[in-house]
Formats: sequence, structure tokens, C-alpha cells
Amino acid sequence: MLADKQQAIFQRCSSMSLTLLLQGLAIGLVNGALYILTALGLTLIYGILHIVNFAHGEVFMLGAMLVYVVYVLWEWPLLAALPAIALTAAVVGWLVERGIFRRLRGQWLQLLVATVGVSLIIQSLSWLVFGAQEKNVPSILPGVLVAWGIRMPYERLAAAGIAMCMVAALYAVVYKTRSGLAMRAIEEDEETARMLGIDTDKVAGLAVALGFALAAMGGVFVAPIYSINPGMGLEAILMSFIIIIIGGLGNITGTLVAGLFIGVVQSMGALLLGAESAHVLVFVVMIAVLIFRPQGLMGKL
Amino acid sequence: MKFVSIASGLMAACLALATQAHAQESFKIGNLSPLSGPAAAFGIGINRGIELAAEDVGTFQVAGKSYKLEVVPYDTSLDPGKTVAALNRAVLNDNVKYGFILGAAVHGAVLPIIRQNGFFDIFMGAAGKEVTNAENPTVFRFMASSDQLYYTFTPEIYKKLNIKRVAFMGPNNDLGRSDVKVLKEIATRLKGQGVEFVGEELVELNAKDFQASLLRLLAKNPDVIDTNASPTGTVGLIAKQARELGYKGYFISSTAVLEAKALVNVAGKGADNIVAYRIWSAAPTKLYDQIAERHQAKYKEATLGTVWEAYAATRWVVEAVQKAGTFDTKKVAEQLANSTFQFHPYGPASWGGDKTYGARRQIQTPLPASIIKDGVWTPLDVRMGTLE
Repeated sequence: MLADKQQAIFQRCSSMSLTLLLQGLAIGLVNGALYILTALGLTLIYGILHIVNFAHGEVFMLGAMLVYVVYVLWEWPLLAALPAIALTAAVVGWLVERGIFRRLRGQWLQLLVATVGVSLIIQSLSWLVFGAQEKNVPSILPGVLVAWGIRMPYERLAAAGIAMCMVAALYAVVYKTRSGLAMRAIEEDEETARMLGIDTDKVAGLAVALGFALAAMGGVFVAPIYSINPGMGLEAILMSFIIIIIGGLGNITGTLVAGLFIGVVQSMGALLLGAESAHVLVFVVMIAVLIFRPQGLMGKL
Repeated sequence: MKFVSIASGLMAACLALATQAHAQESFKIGNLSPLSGPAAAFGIGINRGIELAAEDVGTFQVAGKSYKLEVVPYDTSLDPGKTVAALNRAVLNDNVKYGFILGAAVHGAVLPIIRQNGFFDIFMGAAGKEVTNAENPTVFRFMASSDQLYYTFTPEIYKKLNIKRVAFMGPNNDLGRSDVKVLKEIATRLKGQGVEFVGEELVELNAKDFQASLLRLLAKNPDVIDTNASPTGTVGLIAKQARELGYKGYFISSTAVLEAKALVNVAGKGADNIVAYRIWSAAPTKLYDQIAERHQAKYKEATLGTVWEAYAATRWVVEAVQKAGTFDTKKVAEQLANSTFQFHPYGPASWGGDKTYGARRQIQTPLPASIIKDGVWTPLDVRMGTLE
């Protein structure tokens, strides 16, 4: 039975042109980059503070809705809108860390419930403020790049490029700056870090603010590609969790590898097996990783 | 003394108001529809249709008592589980016996509750005999059924647009699967004319990225992608992403009530050549125009697609209740099925389905098809046939 299925897939592959397979691969890689964009903030907050931030999807959604308000409704220039949104999300993150996370640090279950609470508050307020109807952010880079028969919209390529830049920037912050060193010290042992004179509260505030800003930026750059609504955070958080579980909880390189890997698995799965099977395939991969490599593909931070 | 007389005057006024309020009771109509998510425009449109009808109905009498319409919204997100919870809440907690329930895909889950409680279901959705049949006497479909659309409409459109290769992309639920089955049947019937069903992709209802699935579908060179059962935003995204992959053919959407503006907002020029049923590119009646003007004035935006049918359904049901002189849903159902009514924005309307469904519970209205050209709906010269 399994051999028959393998044979069918093989026949399908051989009947498909190379261009089609390469197009599928390109879609997978670019979609993978979009997943990375979505998951990066979650990785950072878990990596440094070991907080499973269920509010991540809502902050992602908030970024998308804010770019709609600021760029589409208020007609701000994009170069002004982007820092304003990042700053707003960072301030929200800092306030959440200061008001909630700090008080519950070390109590993982309470923290988990608190992040669910934050998520529900943001989502409920968003339904009230932004309304239920789907909204659209017009494409900033319309058009399609066609090369060797492979087609890719510029807006997706741009978002993928930004995702890679954000990974590089985050990597530089965490591994090449004093703040990053302090973050890694907290990740290793918060008590010892404090005894060494690191202001752990300040560094934690910085990490959460940065994580929230990254999540919001993910929403900003994904918004022109899809339509947006206050319910979009749920899908984002689900995919983000899959990515960080497969990549290794809190590992930046792991998020990069897992994002691209899942993007390709999903795309090639849909191309060769169909949409229904591709959806299942992602979860099969996640469960396989949990069983055979529970620390994820790249381990922890 | 003066204070006492003012106070007694105020008390008398309050009492009079209270008595009046007591005398005028609410006739609650539930709206169990998606009020959030990609299909929200459908549910919001229904709410507004009821509200506009309520303005026209005003206060009405049933068995000597005064009633006023009250809309009770329940957000189902087009999810069967949430719709079951909403219906239970409506029936058991809120004493709502009448309501709009949107979506054929959720009906499999709610029909047992409807039958058990005699809930009066003002059904907005596609599908066919699985919902409209003699076992469900209190279910009235106020929209065209899949049978009306597919069997009397689709072949005409294929012929007009010279469509030979048909593909389907829709939600992975009962409705999506049922539509694939119907499309395959039609292709088999039209085999002599060279029509062929070439492929299907069933995606998650809330999916937003279709590129890889579309790639698989486009490899089969379809002339048309049927996007039936998908909400407006999703149809727009499918069109946008298919065009990005180089697809130049048609899209057909038979069940969704699509807003051209919403489609163009998502898909830009890619929205051209989307064909939809039940889109009027020119107003068919004066009532249609009046509702559009009132909607614009009240809600400050173009009329949402479900407003017309929701308006008519509300007026018809209220009139049936008045004629029956009771709120008993089974008696009102009989009254409604055997009455003729005005107030349909699409023009002359009646009940049919006796032969096809074994139940006279299927609305028949004039219905056009339109195609988007340069971002606006333009008429496609085909008309839906009648269903016995």
C-alpha cells in the first residue's frame, strides 16, 4: 500500500516539469521566510526569559492592524509609520513585562495563564476598535518577478528579505552586544547574573519590548500579502509554536532553519500530495521531531 | 404643594411609559452568522437587513398584542461547533425561536436541534436536499440552492465563456466536498460539449496562503477555478495569488455574495474575470434602489450583499406571523409556505422545491450573473432557470 503511494508520488514528480518543482520550492522558501518573520519575537522572549508568550499572535495582529490605520487611513509615509509601530509595540511589551511578567517571574503556569489573558484583552479590544470586517493594506511593491520561468511577487520577496535582515539583526543583538550578553546570562542563570551586577529587570524589560516589536513588525510586513482582521493572531501563534518547537525552543538559528524547512515541506506537500495532506504533513513532522529530537533541530539558545 | 404635584405628574408619566413598554413586546429574531473573520460581511449584512426591515415594519399586532422586532446577534465564525453553541443559547437561554442561520456547512450540526425545538430557521446558504426536505418543515432557504445555481446556471455560463476545463478550490468541509461532487456530476453531464473536471483542492476554511495548492491546480490548465463556498476575502486572495502565478482564466463563485470593491481591494486587477451569481450590475427594482440608498445613509458604506435577502426574509416572516396570528413556528411555517408576498428587492418571488426537495421551502427569485471587468460588475447575459 505504502509502496503504491510512493510510486504514485514518484510518477507525479516525474510528470511535473522541473520549472514547476522549482516554483514549488521557491514558494516554500519564501513562505518559510514569512513564518520566520512571524515567529521571531516568540523565539526571543522564550529564549531569554523562558516565557511561553501566548499574546505573541495578538501583537503580530496588532502590528498588521496598526499599519492599516497609520499607513492606509492616516496616510503616514511608510518610513514614519514603521518606527512608530515598532515603538508602540515595544512600549506595550515593556508595560506588560513591568506590570505582569516581572511580578510572576519563575511561576511558569501563572505566566502562561497571564499571557493568555493579555492575548484575550488585546484581541477583544481590537474587535471593538478595528471592527470585524477584513481589511487590506495595498501592496507597497506591486508586480511579479519572473526568472527562469519561476514567478514570485515582489512584495513576498521583499518580506522574505526583511525576515532575513531581522534574523541577522537579532543575532547581532543577542551575540554581539553587551545587552545581548546580559540577556544570555539571564537565560543561563538569572540569580548568578544578578549577583554579577546585571540589572535583570531592565534586561528582561528590553527583551520583552524587543520581542513585541519583532512580532508587530512581522504583522506589518505580512499585512500587504494577505487580508487582515483581529482574528488573524490565532493562525500566527499556531504556526509560530510549530516553528519554534521544530527549530528548538528559543534558538534563533533553529527558527531560521525550521521556518524554511516547514515552508518547503508545506509547499512541496501541497504540490505533490494536495492541500489536505500538506496540512497534516506539517503536524506529522512536528510530532516526529518531538519524539526523535525533543530539543528541536538546533537545540536551545 | 407645587413639588408634590410635579412629583405626582412625573410618576404618572413614568407609569404610562412603563405600561406602554410592557404592552409592546419584542419579537426576537436571532442572527446566527459569522460576525468576525473573513466571512463577517455576510453576517453583518444580515444584521443590517433585519434592522432596515424593522424600521419598515415598525410596531405590529399579533393576537391583539403589540410587538417590535429585535435582532439578537450570535457570532458563529461559520464554525459548526460555535453555531451549535449559539443555537442552544438562543433557544434555551434567550427564548429566541426564529433566526437566520448562515452557511450550509454548519447545518449538518444544527439540524437535529432545529428539529427538536421547532426552531424557525431562516436559512441563508447553498447546498440542496440535505437541508431543504420534508423532515425540516421549519427550515426555509431564502437564497438560491446549489441545485438552482449549478444545474440551471452553470452550464449556461460554461457555454457563454467557452469553458471546457473546470477546477475547484474551496473549504475542506461538507459544503466544499458536496460542491466538488456536484461539479463532477455537471462535468459528466456536459462531457459531450467537451467539459472536463480537471482537479480539486480543499483547503482549511481560514487559510490565507494558497500559492502551493494553486500551483498544483494550475498545472492542470483549468479554464475556470470554481471558488464556491469561500467568503469574499478568500475569493479575493485566491484570485490575487493565482494571477501572481500567471493564471489568466476565470473564477466562478456561486454561493458567496461578493462585494466587487472588497475583491478589487484584495486582488487589484486580478479581480477581473471573477464571475458571480446573484450580483446585480443594475438595480432590478425600485425597492432595491431604496434599500441601497438607506443603507448608504445609515451605515456610510455600499450595501453588503446579504442585506437584500435578509430584508425580504424578515418582512416575509413577520407578515406570515401576523397572518397566522401566532408565534408557533410550525403554524407560521405552513402559513409562509402557502403565501405569496411582495417586498423582494430582486423582483417577483415565490416558493418552490415541492418536487425537487419534497418541501415547498425554497425561494425562487430572478437572479443574474455578473463578471468583473475593470474592477466593476458588468452583466453576463445569462439567467437562472426555475426549480420545480
